[in-house]
Amino acid sequence: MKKILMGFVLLSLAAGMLAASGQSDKSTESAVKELIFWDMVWGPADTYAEASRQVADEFNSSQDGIQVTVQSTPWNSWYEKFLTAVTSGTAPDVATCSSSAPYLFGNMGELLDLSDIVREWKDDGDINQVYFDTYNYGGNQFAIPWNVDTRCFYYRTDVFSDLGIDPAGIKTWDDFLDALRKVRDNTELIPFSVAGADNMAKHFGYQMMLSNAIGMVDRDLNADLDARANIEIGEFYNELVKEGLILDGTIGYKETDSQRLYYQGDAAVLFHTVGTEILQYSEIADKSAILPVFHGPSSDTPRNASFINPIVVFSQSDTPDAAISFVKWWSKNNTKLWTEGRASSMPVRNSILADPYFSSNWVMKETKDLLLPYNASAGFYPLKSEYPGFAALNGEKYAALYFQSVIAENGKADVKGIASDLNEKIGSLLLESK
Amino acid sequence: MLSSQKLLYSRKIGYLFLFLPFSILAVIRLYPMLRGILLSFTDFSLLSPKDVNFIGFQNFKKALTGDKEFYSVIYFSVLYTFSVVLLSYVFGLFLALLLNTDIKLKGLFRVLILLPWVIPPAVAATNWLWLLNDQNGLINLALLRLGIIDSPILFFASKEMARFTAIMFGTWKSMPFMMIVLLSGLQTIPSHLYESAVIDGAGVLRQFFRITLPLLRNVSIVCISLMFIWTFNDFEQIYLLTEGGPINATYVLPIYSYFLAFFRLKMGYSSAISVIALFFLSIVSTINVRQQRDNF
Repeated sequence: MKKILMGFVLLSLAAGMLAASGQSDKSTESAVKELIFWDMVWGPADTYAEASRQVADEFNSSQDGIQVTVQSTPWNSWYEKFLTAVTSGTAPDVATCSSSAPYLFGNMGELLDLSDIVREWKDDGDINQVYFDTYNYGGNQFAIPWNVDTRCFYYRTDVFSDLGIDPAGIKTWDDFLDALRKVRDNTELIPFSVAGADNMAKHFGYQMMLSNAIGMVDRDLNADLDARANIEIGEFYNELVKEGLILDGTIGYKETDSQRLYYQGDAAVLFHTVGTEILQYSEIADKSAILPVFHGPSSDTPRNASFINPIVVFSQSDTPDAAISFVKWWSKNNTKLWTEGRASSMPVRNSILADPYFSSNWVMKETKDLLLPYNASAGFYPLKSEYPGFAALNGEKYAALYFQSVIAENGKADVKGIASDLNEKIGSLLLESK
Repeated sequence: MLSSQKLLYSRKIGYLFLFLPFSILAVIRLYPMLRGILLSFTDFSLLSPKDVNFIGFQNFKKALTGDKEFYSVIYFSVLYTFSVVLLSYVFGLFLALLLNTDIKLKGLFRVLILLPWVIPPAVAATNWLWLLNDQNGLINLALLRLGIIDSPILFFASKEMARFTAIMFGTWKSMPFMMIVLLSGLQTIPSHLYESAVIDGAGVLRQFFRITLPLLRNVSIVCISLMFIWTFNDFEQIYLLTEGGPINATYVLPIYSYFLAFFRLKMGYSSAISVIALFFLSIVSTINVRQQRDNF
């Protein structure tokens, strides 16, 4: 037994000595600043992670002072992962993350203010100011936008053509409803497929709010769901179900259910995320296109729901200057993430969008031409960026709850009553978060 | 016989071996629980994690007296838990009784019935969502083709149907555990008791109520208590199936607590909700332990 114990002691000593020697090796190389970069998987895992590594390798070989190590970070439980890292003091130096992360971590004092970068880039006009504004909270620029995830209405070109519907003529909600009515009256197809149960239902809610120039709150951060423009949205939902323009089961559909209906050729219009995924269904993709952005009765400006995604620098970084240098380089030199990595969103930089890759198929070309010029940050309107309480309203899907509550009544909804009830709940959530 | 010195030495070794697993358990089980309890007495918010104040029982007072949502969540949590436990017990017992008879391919049936228990919840929920879909789902298509229904059943389209579907899914997932535990209980009942009962003229029902059920009592208490605790704490099954919808109709306490912590960023209040659940489940556990102690 004594021999065994002695063995353990010797092993421990040996391990300690090895660790100490590793430490001294590291200190001799301290001239090179090492950065850890968490990059979420923004495209197919097999292609994106490799492209992300290649971009970092290019940065590493472009200079001698900084070495970046990319850690490809999957989306599942991203929130808990970041939160745990931040609260336990093990946050990375730099990270790409969800659009809701900068507000949370910025307010916790965990992100660096990157206003200097914005000032430096302001005049080149390569990135739309709307995108920068999304991450500016009270004068602090907690993130730099780098890609934009856009929502759209796909439609069947063959069906519209047969029915004589001119997609360019759809400029208002009424035009849209008329087109759906024509589909209902003249075909066996489901006029409109949209998710009612998950985040996509919430995004549909944001889309409708943006297109009617209204949000869940007003400029003074008061609950605003019972405003006239929001009541109009409720009435629009009511029309959809009352006139049989969506299926009765819509309230229970997740994103994949609504997609399936369109991809298998059963629906004429689909509300969904823009992405090249549709191209895999060539039979439908060949006869699909994206509807131009249309607006509601309370707005005369078309706006399209989009989620602008950020890159951030954590204040826990030991080498903040190196981290900022990397972010600046990476933001301008990451075209490969799309061309090789097949990232599913679109870049925010016009210079990257000019790459021929972004005109190589109809999805990207139409997104660039028809949607990006009208992109606005989903959920925040009429404010430019996230506000106190938004995390709760967004996480608990209040925009989806409104849609669900109206369509659950099968066309007989008391829209004002529903809006008023939800407005009260939004009001208390806002109050709690103040 | 070991000498007293050797006995002492072997005990020391025993404690040494116990020390490591106990330390691991303390770190991964005990510490988070104690920290959670501690947080429940604070106003800890993720927006200001460095500014934490002790606020006594305020979170508990708010939950029990001022939070309407909490009571609506408790209502469905209790309904869901009782329904799933009751139904899975009834169906589990029925299947256990069937499999305890001399039927052919008994082993195969046991494996098949156990499948729902071993399938990961994410896979099970995805498959059920597809099976229950009103447009493409196998169940609706089969019922329509057989002429049993005229129009598809909308399993998730109303609050009531979504709740019913969540309970059915929970029952399907839990029933195999009940079945296997009850089957093991049935196999410990001596066959001569049934033989004597038959000689005395007792029918099948009488044998069930006078012999089977009383002798399954201990096993039943254990599996019902465990299932109660697991079901009450169930987050993923419901979340994967309905995400708490439609219109929040299938919110259960763990989902509510999760939303409070990560969306409303109120870690302190969320911890208080979890502590209330812990208190409630501790009562169930105490009853279980007492019953077992009284019976053995």
